Formats: sequence, C-alpha cells, structure tokens
Amino acid sequence: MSTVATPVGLPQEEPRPTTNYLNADNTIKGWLLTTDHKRIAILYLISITIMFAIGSFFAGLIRIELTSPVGRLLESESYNKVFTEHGVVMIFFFLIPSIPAVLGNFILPIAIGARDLAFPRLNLLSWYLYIIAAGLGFLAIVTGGFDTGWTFYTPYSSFYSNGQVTMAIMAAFIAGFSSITTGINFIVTVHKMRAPGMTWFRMPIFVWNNYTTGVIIILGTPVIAITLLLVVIERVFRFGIFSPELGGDPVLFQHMFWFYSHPAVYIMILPSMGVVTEIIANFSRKRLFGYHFVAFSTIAIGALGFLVWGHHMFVSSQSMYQGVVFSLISYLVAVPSAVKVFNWATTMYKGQVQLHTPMLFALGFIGLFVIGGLTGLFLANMGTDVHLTNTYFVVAHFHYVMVGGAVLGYMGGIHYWWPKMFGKMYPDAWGKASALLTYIGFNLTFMPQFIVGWLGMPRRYHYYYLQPEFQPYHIASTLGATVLALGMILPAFYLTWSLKYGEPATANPWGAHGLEWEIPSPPPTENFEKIPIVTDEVYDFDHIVDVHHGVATEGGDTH
Amino acid sequence: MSADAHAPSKYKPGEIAWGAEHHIQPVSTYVKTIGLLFILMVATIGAAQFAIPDFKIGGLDIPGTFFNNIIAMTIAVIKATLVVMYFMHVKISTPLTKFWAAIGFIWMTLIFFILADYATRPLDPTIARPWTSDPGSAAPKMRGGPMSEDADKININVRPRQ
Amino acid sequence: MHQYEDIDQQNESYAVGMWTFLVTEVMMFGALFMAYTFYRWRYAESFYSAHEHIKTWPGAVNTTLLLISSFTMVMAVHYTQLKKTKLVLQNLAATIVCACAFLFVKIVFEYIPKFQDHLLPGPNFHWNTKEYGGSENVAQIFYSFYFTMTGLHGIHVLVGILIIGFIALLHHKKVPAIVDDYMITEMVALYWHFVDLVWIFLFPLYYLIPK
Repeated sequence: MSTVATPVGLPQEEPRPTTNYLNADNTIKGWLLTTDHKRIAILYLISITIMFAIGSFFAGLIRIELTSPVGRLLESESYNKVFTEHGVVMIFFFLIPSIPAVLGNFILPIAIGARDLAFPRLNLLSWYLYIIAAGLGFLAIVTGGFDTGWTFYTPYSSFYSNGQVTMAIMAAFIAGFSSITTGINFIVTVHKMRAPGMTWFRMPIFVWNNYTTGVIIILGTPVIAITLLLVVIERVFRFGIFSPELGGDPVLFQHMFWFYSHPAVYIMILPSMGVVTEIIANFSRKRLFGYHFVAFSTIAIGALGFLVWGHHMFVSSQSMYQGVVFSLISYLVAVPSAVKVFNWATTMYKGQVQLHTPMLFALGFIGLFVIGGLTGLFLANMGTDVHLTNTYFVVAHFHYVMVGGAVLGYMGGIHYWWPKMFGKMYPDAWGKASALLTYIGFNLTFMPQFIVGWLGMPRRYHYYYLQPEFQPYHIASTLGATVLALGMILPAFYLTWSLKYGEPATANPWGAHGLEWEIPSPPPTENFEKIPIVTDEVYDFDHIVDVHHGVATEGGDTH
Repeated sequence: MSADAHAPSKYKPGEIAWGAEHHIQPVSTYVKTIGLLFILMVATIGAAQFAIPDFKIGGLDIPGTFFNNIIAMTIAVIKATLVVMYFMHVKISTPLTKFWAAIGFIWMTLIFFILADYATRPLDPTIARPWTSDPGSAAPKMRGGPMSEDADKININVRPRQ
Repeated sequence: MHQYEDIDQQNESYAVGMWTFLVTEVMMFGALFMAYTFYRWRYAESFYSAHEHIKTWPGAVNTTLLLISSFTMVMAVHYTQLKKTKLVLQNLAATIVCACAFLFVKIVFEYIPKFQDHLLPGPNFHWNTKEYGGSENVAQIFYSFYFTMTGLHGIHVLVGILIIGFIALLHHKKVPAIVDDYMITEMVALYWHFVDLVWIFLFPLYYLIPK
C-alpha cells in the first residue's frame, strides 16, 4: 500500500476541467459575497477551525490547572471563566455548526442532485450571522470573560454575576439565528430540490441526518433564544422572571434551557452519525444494512430527543414523577442509537473493509460513541445519577459522545470529502497517524475522568486538595490531552500541505457511491452540467462511476 | 431566484402570475373571515365580563374562572384557525405547506409539558412546597447583596420590598 | 444562478421556507406563553389584582387595528395576484397606518401611563397594594411578563412596518421581481398574519383575566 491513497487511473482518463468553484472568481467580493454553497462551506471551515482553536486553548488551560490539587495556575473566578468559555465556544461556535455548516452545506445539495441550496443568499446571511456572533463572543471573552457556566443558570447569570454575561448571551443568541437559517435551508432543500428519481429512500443517510438536524434546529433553537433573552432582560432591565426574591422560579429557567439544550446534543451528533454511515457503507463496499431502520431511527432520535430534557435536572427539586418519565424516555432514546450501531456492524460484516483514514475515524466513532452512550445510561438512571451528577463522570460521558462521537465524525467527514472539496489527496499515512493519535489521546484523557468522577471529584472545581489521591488520574488525563492535541493539530499541517503539494484527486478516489462522486473534484460552480436523473438505489456498489473517472466497477479492490 | 431585477416584466398587463397551489380567492372569502373575526373578538370581550361562579362537582372544588379561561382560549384558537386557514392560505396550500404550518403549533404543546413538573410536585413524598403565600420570603438575604440594609451604600439596583 | 426548475417549485419552496421560519417564531412565543401560564397558575389571585391596572379598551382597539391590518394585508396580496398595483399600494399603506396606530395606542395609552405609575419593573417599581390587592412581588413578575411579551410583539410589529414599507416601495417602483410573482408579498403577509396571531392570544391573556 502506498503512502498516498492513489486512485487507480486509466491512461485514457478524461482531461481535468480547469474551472471549478475554487478558481471561478478569485476576487475578495467573489468570496465574501458568494452565494455558492461550496464557497460558503469553505468560509465556514476556516471560521470554525479558528473557533475550535480558541476552545481548545481553554481546554488546555483547564487540563494544566487540574494537574495540581491546589490549582496553582488560575484563581477560582478565572477558572470559572475558562471552563465557561470552553463550553460556550465549543458548543455554540464549533459543535453545533460544524458538520451541517461545513460538510452539509458542501455535500447536501450535490448528494441530492441540486445546483444549490433552496435559499443561497440566506446561506450567506447564515455565515455572516455566525461571524458576527463569533466576533461578539470573542469580544466578551477578552473584555473580562463570563463565569456562569455554559448553562447560564439563574439567578447567578441574571443578577449576581459580574462578567460579560450579556455580551456572551447575545453572541449565543445570534449564533442561534445562524443555526436556524441553515436549518430552514436544509429542510426546504431536501423537500423541494431533489433531482428526478431521487426519492426519499434513495437519499444517502447523510442527507437524512442533516435534514433531521435542520428540523430539530428550527423546533428547539427558538426556545433557548427566548430563554437567554429573558436572562438578558432580567440583567439589563432588572425585570424579574427567574428571580427568587420576587417569587420567581430559577428551576423554570433550567426547564426552558434544557428543553433546547438536550435536542442540541442531537443536533451535534446526528450529522456525525450521518457521516459515519456514509463512510462505513462506502469503505465496506457494501450496501448499508437496514437502510430503512437507520433512516427511521434518525427521525426517532430527533423526536424522542425533545422528551428527555429533565434528565439534566434530576436533583434540581424537579418532581420525582416527572423524573421517572424522563428517565424512562432517556432509556428509550438510546435504542435508535443502538439500532444504528448494529446496522453499521452488520454492514461491515463480509464487506471489503478498506482501512483508509476516514474509515479509521468512523471505527473510532463507533467505539467511543458506544462507551459514551452506555455511560449515559448510568446518568439516565435516577438513583445512580444522584451519586454521579455534577461529577467528572458526567464530564467524561459527554466528552465521549461529543468529542469521541461528533468531532471524530467531523474529522472523518473532512478526510472523506477533502479530495472532493479541494481536488487534492492528502498523504494517507499522516491521516492514519492523526486518527490513531486522536483515538489514543482521547481515551487517555477521558477514561480516567470516569473513574475520578465515580470517586467523587466534582466538575467545575479547580482544586481538589481535600482528595489529593485524585492527582494521578488528572495527570494521566492531561497527558492524554497532549496526545489528543497532537492528533488534532496534525491535520492542520498535512491537509494544508495537500492543498499545494497533494496528488490531484479524480472524481471518485475512494470508489464510493453517491452523486457527489460523479462530478469532478473540485466541482464546478453549477455542480452538474445536467441535472442527473437518478436510477440507482442508494449505496448501490454495482453501479459506481464508470472507468473514465478512474475507478474499477463491480466492487473491485482499488489497489 | 428570478433573473435581473431590472429587466422588463415578462408578463403582460393584467396577466396573472401564480404558483401551483395558490388560486386566487374571491374577496368575499376574506370579507367573511374578517367579519367572523370581529364577531369573535366581541364575543371574547363579552365573555370576560361575566366571571362564572365557583361550583362543586361531587366534592371537587372547581373555580369558575377555569371555564372562563377555557372559553377565552377556545375563542382565541378559533380566531387563530381562521387567520391561518384563510388569511394565510393554508386551506388551499399543498400538503407539504399544511404540514409545516401545523407542526409548529403541535410541537409548541410539548413545552407545556414543563408544567407537569409543577403539577406533580404536591404528590411527592418529600415536602416540596413549590410556592408560598408570601412570594420571595424564602429567598436568602445576601450580605452586601441587593436586599441587605446597606444596599444604599453599595449603589446597585435594589428592588424595593415591603 | 437558477436553482429552481419552475415557478411552482420556487413558490412552494418560499412558502415552506417562510412557514419553517414561522415555526421558530411559534416556538419562541410559545415558550413565553408557557412561562406566563406557569406563573399565572401559581399566583392566580395576584395576577388578577395585578392586571386590574390594565384597561381593556386599548387592548380592544389594538385588536381591531391588527385585524383590519390583517385584512388589508391579505387584500394587498390579492391585488398583487391580480397585478393591480394601485390597489396593492393602497392596501399596503392601510396596513402600515393600522400598524403605526397600534404602536401609537400601545405606547401613548398603555406604556407611558404605566411608566408614570411606577409599573415598569426595576428599581422604581411600586405597587399600590392597598388599592389593588395582591402581592407586590408577584405584580412585578406580572409586569415583567407584560412588558416583555407586549414589547417583543411590538418589536415584531415595528419590523413588520419596515418590511411592508420596503415592499411597498418595490411595488411603487414596479420592480419586476415583486410585481411578476406574488410570492414575495405573500411571504411578508404570512409574517404579518403571524404577528396578528400572537396578538390574538396575548389579548385575552393580559386584558381579559377574569376574577
């Protein structure tokens, strides 16, 4: 196997077209006022990477601080600001937009055979809203920071905190609108812009998942928008809605906050599951097992996800009976996720599994997401949750699903579609190194946190001198974080390197199935010369793009 | 969308541009709808003037205002349905449009599930009094905070309490 | 770039797109209605006392104004479909007039008297418990909700006025994009009817609380 994932090209390959969406209009205006969904995806890619770097910086600070039981690096207030900003930046400015805004924007229209999204200018507005929000968030961070926790619990956030809470909330508010416009675009596009012959059940699962994510976005984001707006109103105008001094109820804030924030985690994970489904099917060269089950499980996760918010509030004085209902439905919502995992496994069984970089990320996803999901069950159980809530067990759980799940899916998707997006192959060996380092570093970072959480280490504490025996776990965790950081930084180098020096990619370097693999890499601005008429079923590996695009058909090995 | 915004209109004067689902409604539809809406508005104002007295059903104490609220909300829902169906043209829209028009209102009812928490708290075996007769009295006083005696010296907004 | 094949696809996309946006607005106001319902259920008597200061007649006038504006808005769409620009402009103007009158009544006859009577929550809030009864703290919660919900609705009305004014300008200039296809005007009308819808629910909840 060569170090570069070389596509098999036949000598009489068609000449590569010279104009594509990247070099079509190389002025600043052509990029900043573009309505091309592919360019907007690239703009998002750059912005999101910057925000990810900022969020990672705070993560680094947290891990360094926790190596010492007395917390030498930061004061308590500063540490509160650091973990708050880590959470806000990572959730609102990285995880929620990541896959939909970058990969969804780029691939979704092509995958259903459209020339663009339904509302291209709304798409551009979405990016500008994101930039404004990110700028405002950054401003809030550097002009004093905010220390309420990303959950902005009242009355601390609405009355007593002295940080830049208003600015931070406005940043999250505007980011919410960026999210909503993307959701609207995806929903209408999938309903109305599919190519002839592209029925709902011929759509790739990636499209199903982004569609469902769009639905969750429009149903959930407005609730947090108004909730945060109420906090700002209470802060700025001193109205009293959640304040206990007037007889208000802070738990009402928690209800309203988590009503969105739980579906939000499904906004973060569903697109990632979509990416993983694409990768697993295409790198096993086998039809997805149980396609209908996977598609309907996506809808089920989206719907059930709205009924479980109370599991974040088991110890909040919420009614016990309510808690029982939430606990039950939380167990139920694990079932569709399990359905997906079973279907991925059976897809790989007796397939011709090719362990290229995207596949490594997808396999990593399955392992880490399963661990994250199973540990969630401990938290969904009201009894064990009383012991585990607000400990590092929770922190480890959500990092397993968010980083081990969503981020690994994002990285896998970037590596999978990079040749399509930029027309260049990256060195596969470096990609595999990055995937392996990420996987190992991640486990080393967060597995000790399960243990130390079980032993009683609370979250959001920067000192633990009362229990100095926790220190080895924290040191292991920080060590892992260093390895993880290395694994995350590597792609920045070899992917950027590939832009200039990478091997040019053909239209279908992976031998994958899908409309996006039938157009040149990088695609022309209008995507398709002629809108295709779709006759294949989905993941139909008997009918891959013909030899002109350099890949053998009949499911043959590409090496 | 359409081409150059300054190109001459491609429709001749008097010619009708329409999408598939929106036939042109007769004006009488709109007039009838607005008439009904005004009647319902008067009805809801009228109904609010008479508070239904409290009564008992077999030992259960029912506040009469409960029914006032039901009547008011029913009238509001009917008005809303009229506006949605006729003014917003949902009645003559495609099934897809009808679906998206309906789903928002249906999903909104999920938020009201939050109230079930407070409704079931009295059933809790522990003493969970969700509300007191003197709202705000249970809130702790913070030293140097907004409810302390030296709040004036601290110069922050103080909510007056009795 | 033309991403639509025909006008039917485009118009239905616009309709569905606008409705998905209205779904977000429904969820946003719905959460506020839920919070209001919660507190009203919890402090029913104090809410009744607190609402005594709110007079019914400005609310009724405002409801009438918004209903009329909804009617003129749908007539404007109707005439856009019939391509009778003069009637379109007249109806759009009537809508704007009604909307401005709505804001005028609200600010002059409702908000300003409340500001003068120390009913704006905050440090200057004062509730005359002897005259109206009920708890002062709950009255402050009630008025917090009142100003938040009617204020948010008022901002939506203001934005609506600006948008309707803008499309009236486009109609006046006979810009082909807006004259040829009625869908843009219809989308603005959908937004405006939604604003009316919110008021249909706000009106009984704030102005018509029974004893």
